Amino acid sequence: MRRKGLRSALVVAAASHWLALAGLVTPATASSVPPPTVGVAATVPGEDLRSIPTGRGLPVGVRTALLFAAVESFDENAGTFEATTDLRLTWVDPRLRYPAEEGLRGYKEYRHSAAEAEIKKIWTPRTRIVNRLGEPAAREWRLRIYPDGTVETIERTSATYETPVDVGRFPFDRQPLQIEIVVHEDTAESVDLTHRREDVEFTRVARDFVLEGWSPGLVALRKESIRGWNGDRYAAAVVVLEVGRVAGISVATIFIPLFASMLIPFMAIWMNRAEGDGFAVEAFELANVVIGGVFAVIALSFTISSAYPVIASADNTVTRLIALNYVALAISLVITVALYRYRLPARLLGAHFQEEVFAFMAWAIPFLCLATGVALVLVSAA
Amino acid sequence: MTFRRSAPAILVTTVVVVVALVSVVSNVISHRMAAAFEDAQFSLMGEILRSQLRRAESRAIASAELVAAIPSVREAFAARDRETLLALTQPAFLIQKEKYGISQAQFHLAPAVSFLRVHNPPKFGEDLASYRNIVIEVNRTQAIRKGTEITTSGIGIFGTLPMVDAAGTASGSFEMAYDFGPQLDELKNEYGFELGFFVEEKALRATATSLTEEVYNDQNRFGNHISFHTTHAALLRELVTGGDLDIREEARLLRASGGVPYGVLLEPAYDYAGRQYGVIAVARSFAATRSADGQAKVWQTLLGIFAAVVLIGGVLTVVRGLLLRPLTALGATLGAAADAGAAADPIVAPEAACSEVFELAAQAERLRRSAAGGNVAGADRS
Repeated sequence: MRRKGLRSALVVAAASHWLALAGLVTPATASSVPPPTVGVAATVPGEDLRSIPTGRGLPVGVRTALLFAAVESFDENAGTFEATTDLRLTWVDPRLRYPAEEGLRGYKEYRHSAAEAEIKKIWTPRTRIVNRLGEPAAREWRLRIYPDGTVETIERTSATYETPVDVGRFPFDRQPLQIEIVVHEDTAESVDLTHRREDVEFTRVARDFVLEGWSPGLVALRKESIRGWNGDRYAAAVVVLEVGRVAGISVATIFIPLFASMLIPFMAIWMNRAEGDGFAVEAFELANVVIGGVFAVIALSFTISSAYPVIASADNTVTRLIALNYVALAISLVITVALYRYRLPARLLGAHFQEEVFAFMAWAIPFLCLATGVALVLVSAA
Repeated sequence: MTFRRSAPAILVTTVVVVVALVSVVSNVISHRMAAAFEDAQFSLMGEILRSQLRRAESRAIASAELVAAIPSVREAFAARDRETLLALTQPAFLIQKEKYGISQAQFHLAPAVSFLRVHNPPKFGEDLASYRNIVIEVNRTQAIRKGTEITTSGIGIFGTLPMVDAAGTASGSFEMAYDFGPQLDELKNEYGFELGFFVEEKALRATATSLTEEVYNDQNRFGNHISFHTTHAALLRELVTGGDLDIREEARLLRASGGVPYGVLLEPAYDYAGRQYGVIAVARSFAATRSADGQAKVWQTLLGIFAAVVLIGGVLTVVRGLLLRPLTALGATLGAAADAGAAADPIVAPEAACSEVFELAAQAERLRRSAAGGNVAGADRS
């Protein structure tokens, strides 16, 4: 019996040696055979539990998930939104394993101040939300530790976040309400942010989500990395809730005035009539209409830039339609001067030619301007 | 038929037809370019997926070979010493499972009898021949085999190799396997794809008897398929329907979710025996190409409208203003001259008419003078 036991011990030792050489296990873990349901527990008495857990090797995979519990507001002009979110981080710290009987519901749970106190005693990933403005208005913690050493923290915060706003496709634009989580101090070789199916399922928007003027889309969870010094990289995760603008609201306030103001330069064409080599209405009268149109468009663009500065400061359908208004006014001014005042076509090619040119312009210019306006809207919708 | 109406009508129709043709052709060309780019994207998505699965197979066989090459393991297996074999291999397996996603490790006796499931030691001894073709093949040919198979606990990507004892005699086989899900998660992390793995319910129920009923809930049901793993369940639910999964060869779909167009590649999944047991869906946003294609269509159409209108304007003003209107005026003058007889005023061309009209007027004036001279001579003779 003793010989058999010795032989078994030698076999185990040899196997451990081979496995260690193969890089599959460390000698310390290979020398003992843990029970099937328990992994490589390695709590060393006196070990500082606030140090990074290396029991499963590095990097420590921290699973990230985030729930948008509510979005209180979205200010597209400032590029900020206020949201209440639940950030869930999950990782395994083998030093925190304990017998399953100790967990009342299969885990040990700590809430609020108890969770904060407990969190101070263990290692937690040093994450930072880089696009959060200031300190959160409210913050709550929950900590769960499972028998296998899995640690799960949920942090509920109400805070304001910066987010990029691109109104290039206004009013058919979709804006990302994004939260950027970055690991600092530990490089991606030490701490990595990952996610699995259950994290993606957690990462969503609350069912009763309401944000006036916007409809919620899906929430995407993306893994990224941030460059550091000397080739270092830091793990990052970006959670993006896409919201789509309800386009109908902007039709009455922005697009109807923009298309209506385009009628002013057309009036300068439609209000006149060719008579022989001249015109029925004097040029200065129609020039006044055009100048009035210029002021109307200036007033309209000023109103839009006051109400929607982000739209006025970027290239989008609205700014292009304003530009189209100015182009239409410029064309009607050229017609007023070249045709009505100086009658250039009649001087160059006769009265008949001028009459035909005027008749053509009376429908072609409004038609082309309106077609361009519609095209600009369709381009933003494409 | 009047030239005044029919000539411009023919010219305008010709212009419209030519411009429309050019616009349609250029639209088709740009659409084909976008489609070719998307086709390349589909091919790349398929290649990345297949390469990931091949890599998983290679990693599984590499891990299995490492363990199988350890003399003590070979010796314990040859001696059918289950306890020692478990003691030797379980630590390595647990580490491989925790760190690298290996999900199964199993020793078999020929032709396909389970000897030891390292991942589930209490369960052994049953005949796997009805569903583990890869094991039968390895034990029959004594050659390494790799592939995917449905097992009692789910679906694995296996690397299976024959085992020999110290004397080189075949003693059975050993395999290690990866789960499917982590492979798809990895692809999402690396490439930003969204993936779903759909398995025929009938095949899954027949073999994967250890799966709980939770897997077969309505949320996971897509027609006669069960969603076994997805990286974004809500998105895949919008992009793929049960009917889409009834395919026998690769399918490429263009779908939309929340206004965002997606390219969805459906790749049939085959087990080691070559039986199709499911479909893998790979989705990627095609918003950039679809948007560029749509914008190109709008701009090309607008350009066609501009070209047609300008050409029509040129035709109308030139034909009517420089030819028809002067000719009409000249005709009126000629009519008045004919009515006035000898007392008619001299015939002159309209002001600023083209030289051909002037020439015509000059010839008419010669005719008038000649007629007037003849009348005078006749009167003299009488």
